[in-house]
Amino acid sequence: MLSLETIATKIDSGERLSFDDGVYLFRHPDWVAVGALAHRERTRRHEDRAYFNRNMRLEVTNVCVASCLFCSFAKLKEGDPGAHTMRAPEAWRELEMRMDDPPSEIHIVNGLHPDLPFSYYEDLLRGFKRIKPDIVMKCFTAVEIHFFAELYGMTYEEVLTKLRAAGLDSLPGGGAEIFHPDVRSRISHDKATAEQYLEVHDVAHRLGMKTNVTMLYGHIETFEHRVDHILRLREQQDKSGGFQAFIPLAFHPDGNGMRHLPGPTGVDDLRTIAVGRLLLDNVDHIKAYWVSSTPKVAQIALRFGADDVDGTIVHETIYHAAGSQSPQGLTRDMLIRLIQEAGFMPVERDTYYRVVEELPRAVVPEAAIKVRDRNARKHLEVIS
Amino acid sequence: MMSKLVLASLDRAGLGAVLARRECGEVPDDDAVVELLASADILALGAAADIARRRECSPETRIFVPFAPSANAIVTVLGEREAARGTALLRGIAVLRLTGPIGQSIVLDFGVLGLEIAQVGLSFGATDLAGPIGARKGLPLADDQKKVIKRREIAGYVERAGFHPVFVTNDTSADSGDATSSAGDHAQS
Repeated sequence: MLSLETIATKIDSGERLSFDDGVYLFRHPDWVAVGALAHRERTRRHEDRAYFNRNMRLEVTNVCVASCLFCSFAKLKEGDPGAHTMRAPEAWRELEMRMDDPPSEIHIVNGLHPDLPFSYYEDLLRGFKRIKPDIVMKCFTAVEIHFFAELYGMTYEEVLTKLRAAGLDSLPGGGAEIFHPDVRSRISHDKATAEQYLEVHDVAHRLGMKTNVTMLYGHIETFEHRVDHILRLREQQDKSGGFQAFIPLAFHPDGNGMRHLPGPTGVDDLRTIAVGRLLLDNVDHIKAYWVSSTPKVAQIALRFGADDVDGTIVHETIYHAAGSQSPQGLTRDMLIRLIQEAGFMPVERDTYYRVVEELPRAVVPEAAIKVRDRNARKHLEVIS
Repeated sequence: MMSKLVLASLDRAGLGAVLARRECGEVPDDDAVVELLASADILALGAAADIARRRECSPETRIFVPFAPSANAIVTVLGEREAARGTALLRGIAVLRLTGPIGQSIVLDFGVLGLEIAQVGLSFGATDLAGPIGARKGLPLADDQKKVIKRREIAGYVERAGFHPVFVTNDTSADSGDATSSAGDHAQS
């Protein structure tokens, strides 16, 4: 019979967790215990290290031919209210303005624009590399790569090879949504299928690229769909081995076709991180993306299996169009403090998880709390 | 119901003794206990606080509408800067639960803390929530901006944390008196 103890024993003996184990973990009422199990696994892999990077996020166009129900960002065509497409020099300017404290990575995700020439994307990449030759360009989701292949009449390998020649280094994980066709056909029927998404990553991995993978949860999917999603990507990782991080993304309902849904909660965020850590025995990193879950929940997620809080971001619009209340950027110092206060050692990394700098452990220990006026016990104060 | 895994972690953290003292009606608030709790593993601490909350308090989570702390409620008051800190807040809530009077209420202001973190706090010893409830307006972009949410939404958060939501309507003009004496209405979610 399934129990947390039998699952812990399986993990300890190196036995892979099953679909049923995953569903059990999602449904277990003691979600804090599930988190504790995930934290044990996270600690075994990363000790008390918690990673972050200095990145810059750009969306150069929100014009998109897809009609995903969960999206508050995309506009159907140029000229629609709110539609924008940056000229390449405008995009480069975003980096030039930050060259006094430059990011190590640029993360670009766009709508599926039907009218831009392929050279637009090549020029974009080349321009960023001209400004900062060592910057890592993590650009274009597998959904975009699939779209490029169809639009410009190329194979995935041809698209990726040409973009790499122009400066592409890595692929972000966006566009995975939920792989199961029952859900995918309802929320994003007119873009890359799960199989196509995974095939793009397969090709990228064969070409030597490292990529990430995501899961958009908290909308119409069930726990079974989430487990199915995680196991599909685990299977892909067995084949191609290039996923660096799994990033669960919380659905935000404002301003999109599923605004009647409540969206996931803090408990759901933490449980999903934890189950991801436990099921994905072949993916090194689990990222708590603070933009989608808020910095507070991301900090707690470091105790529920996450080992990475993403980066400084600087300019995020996709989640904010959907009502995210997180700030649009955190400074490096804020990220370091967030990690230190949770009792971890901040490690600044590059895109490939190479260490840029290890920072001191808690300057302000998490335990630095006091109950003000303990006799009255009216107030709780967190002190630094 | 706590798993053996959790019970073992409580024992490892020395928290079983704290729970045993509370079960005997004793309030373990001596300095040694506070020191122990300040450094205990946060998830073990949360589990201990959750056990104490479930033993001592009603499974209902009251939602004060609008925010009207009663004279005898324990209310966490945090400035915006402090509110950004998740794990320290959870530890603080758990410490309040384990060192405070038996069966005390701990109310979290989700208008200050954010609903996500307030929901998580319910599993670390908090009993009740309070804050602004109403139609969501606009798309606030700052983390510290107060979030305004619908009744059904907050009821869902409470249910999905494993508790039963009960809305309590208060007369906000009254500073004294027990808020729980006001009529409560069960959430329609």
